[in-house]
Amino acid sequence: MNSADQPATPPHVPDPREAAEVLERVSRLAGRTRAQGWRWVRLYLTGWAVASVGLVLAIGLGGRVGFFVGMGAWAVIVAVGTTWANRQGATAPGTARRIFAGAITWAVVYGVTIFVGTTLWPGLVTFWVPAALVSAVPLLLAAWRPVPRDVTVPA
Amino acid sequence: MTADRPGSRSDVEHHPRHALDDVLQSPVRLSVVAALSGVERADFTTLRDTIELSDSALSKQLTALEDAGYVEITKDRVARRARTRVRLTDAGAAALRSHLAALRAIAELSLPATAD
Repeated sequence: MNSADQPATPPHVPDPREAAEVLERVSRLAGRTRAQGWRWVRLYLTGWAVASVGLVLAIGLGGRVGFFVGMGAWAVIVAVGTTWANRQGATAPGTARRIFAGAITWAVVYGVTIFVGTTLWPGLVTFWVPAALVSAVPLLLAAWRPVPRDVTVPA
Repeated sequence: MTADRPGSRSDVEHHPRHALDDVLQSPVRLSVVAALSGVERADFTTLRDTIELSDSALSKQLTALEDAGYVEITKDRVARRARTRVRLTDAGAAALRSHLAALRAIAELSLPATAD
């Protein structure tokens, strides 16, 4: 080939082995940030689910004191959780949608549970314990539903 | 010029190396784009720790990628601390896909032609 065909500073062209190594490194890096992005979402929603169990039990079985203690603790947990979530460095694709879906479904289940329970069965353990566990289900589903496949850098 | 002779211009131009992206030929820039490809966005600290770069080296590469239109950089504040967040643009994602396809083609050049 004529030297005039060569660029002034030709970039390094990887050989097949180097190309395979680069592909492996790219996949590893993409997977690392992606895992980091999903890890905190799962932790956040799971923490919210656990707090929901406590809140529903406090409201349902704790009487007036339980209501105020539960709501006070809830306000602190929400403030700390929101600040913590905002500080996370990697955001996985679909994070906002997943948290929103979990929050909306939780709000409906929580609202129905509190309304029905306080109206019909205040203080009844056989209602409030299962109801508290059910209130966590939407958040746990949002947290642990499988994550979508990466289309840019498939593992 | 003979088009069908091995090593001729036609053979050379079909080599997958011609599809490699100039901007992503830098291993550091490729690492940044790869790390961003797994997420919607990442902050400066996450990228720095993931790729294991100094602040100044990462800043320099991010500027080059931003100039190429491959990343979008935004700044906000969290708890009174400034934070730099980086997102891979559609152009950046397309360039990465094309670059990876070229790398896969190069990697496959080493496979023995057992079917023949």
